[in-house]
Amino acid sequence: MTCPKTLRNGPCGGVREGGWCEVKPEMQCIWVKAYDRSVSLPLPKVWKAHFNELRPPVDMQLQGTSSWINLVTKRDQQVPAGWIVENRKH
Amino acid sequence: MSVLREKLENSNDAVFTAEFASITGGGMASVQKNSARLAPWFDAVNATDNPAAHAHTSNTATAIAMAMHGLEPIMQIVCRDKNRLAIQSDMLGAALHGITNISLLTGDDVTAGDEPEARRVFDIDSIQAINIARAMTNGKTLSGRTIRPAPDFYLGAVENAAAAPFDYRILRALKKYRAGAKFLQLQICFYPDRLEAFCKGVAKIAPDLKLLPTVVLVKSAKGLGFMNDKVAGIDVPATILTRVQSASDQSNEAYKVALELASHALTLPGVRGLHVTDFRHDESINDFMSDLGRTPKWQIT
Ligand code: SF4
Repeated sequence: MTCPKTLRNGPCGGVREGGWCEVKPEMQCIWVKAYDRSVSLPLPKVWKAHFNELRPPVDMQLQGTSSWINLVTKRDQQVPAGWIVENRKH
Repeated sequence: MSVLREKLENSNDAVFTAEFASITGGGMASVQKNSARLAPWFDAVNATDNPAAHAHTSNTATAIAMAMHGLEPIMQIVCRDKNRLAIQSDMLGAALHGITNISLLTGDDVTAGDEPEARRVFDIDSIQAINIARAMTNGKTLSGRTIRPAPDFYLGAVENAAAAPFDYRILRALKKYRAGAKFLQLQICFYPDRLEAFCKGVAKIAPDLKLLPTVVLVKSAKGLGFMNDKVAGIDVPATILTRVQSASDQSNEAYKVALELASHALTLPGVRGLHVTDFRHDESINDFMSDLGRTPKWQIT
C-alpha cells in the first residue's frame, strides 16, 4: 500500500480519526503507520531523525528505471538547481 | 506592503483572518458584497484554490478581485490540481499583481469533491512547495533560473493539530517553518486539549512561528454533522454534536461553542490571532468579533 497522494513529506492533514487514510478509509494512513514504527521500533537515532527530513520533489524521469542503478550511481540524489537543500545540525 | 506580515512580525496585536467564499457565479457584485462584510474586521482574507476539490474561480483571479475591493489576500496554492510548473506560475502571477501573502497546502484529495474521476496531481507536496517559494524569495526558480527582482513573499501553511499522529504534527509544523513558513493557519479543531498540546509544543521548538487556529461558525447540529462526515481531517466529538442537537436554540448553541473554542484558543502559547470560517453567512460574524472584544475598523451600517 502506498500513499494515494504520493506524499514525500506526510502525513497530510486529512488523516481520519483513529489514523485512517483520507482517500482510502479502509486502510491506515501509511505515514501514521511509519511514524508509529519510527517511535516504537528500536531503530538507530539517525534513522529516527531521518523521518522528519525535508525530502525533495520526485524526479519523474526516473519512473520505470532501476532504483538500484540510480542508488549506486547516486542519480537519485540529484535535485533541481534551485532546490534549497536543508542544512540541519541535529 | 503586507499588513499581515507587519502585524505578525512587528507588533503584538492579535491578527484575524477569514476565508473568502469561493466564487462560481455572481460576478464582481458578489465579490463586493462579500468584501464589504469582511473588510471591517479582518487583517487578511484567504483566496482559496478549488476548496474541497470543487472547481471555482481560480485562486489568483480571486485574490486580484479581493484586492480590488479593499481586502488583503492570502493566496492559497494547493498541490492537488497543479504540477510544479503550474504552482510556480501561480507564485509568479501573484508576485506580478503585488500579492505577497502565500499559503501552501497539499489539499484535499479529488475524492472529496464533485469530480472524483479527475486525475490527482500531487507532483509536489505542501512542504516542498514552501521550500520552492522560499527559493523564489531568494531570486531563483526551482530549476535555478534567476528572478529579478525576487518576489517578496510572506509564506504560510496549514497544519491539522487534531489529526494523528499528534506528537508528529508538532514536528511537521517545525518542518514547515524550516522550509520557510512564517505563519500557520490551523485546521478547524474541536478538541481543545489537542490544540493546546500542539500550540505548547510548537511554541517550544519554533517560537517564531505564528499560529492562527481556526474556528468555524455554523448554524446547527446539521452543519457540524456535515463537517464531521464530509470535510477531510475534521472530527466533531459526540459531546459537542449532542450538546448542539439537544439545545432548544441550535443556532445560539453552535455560536456559543464557537465562542468558547475561540476564547480558549486565544489563550494558548504561540497563538497570535484567529482564522474564522463563516458558514452562517448572516450578521453573526459582527456579533462574534464584538464578543471577542474586537472593534471594527469603521462603523458598520
Ligand atoms: S491519509 Fe496518509 S496515506 Fe492517506 S493520503 Fe493522507 S498522507 Fe497519504
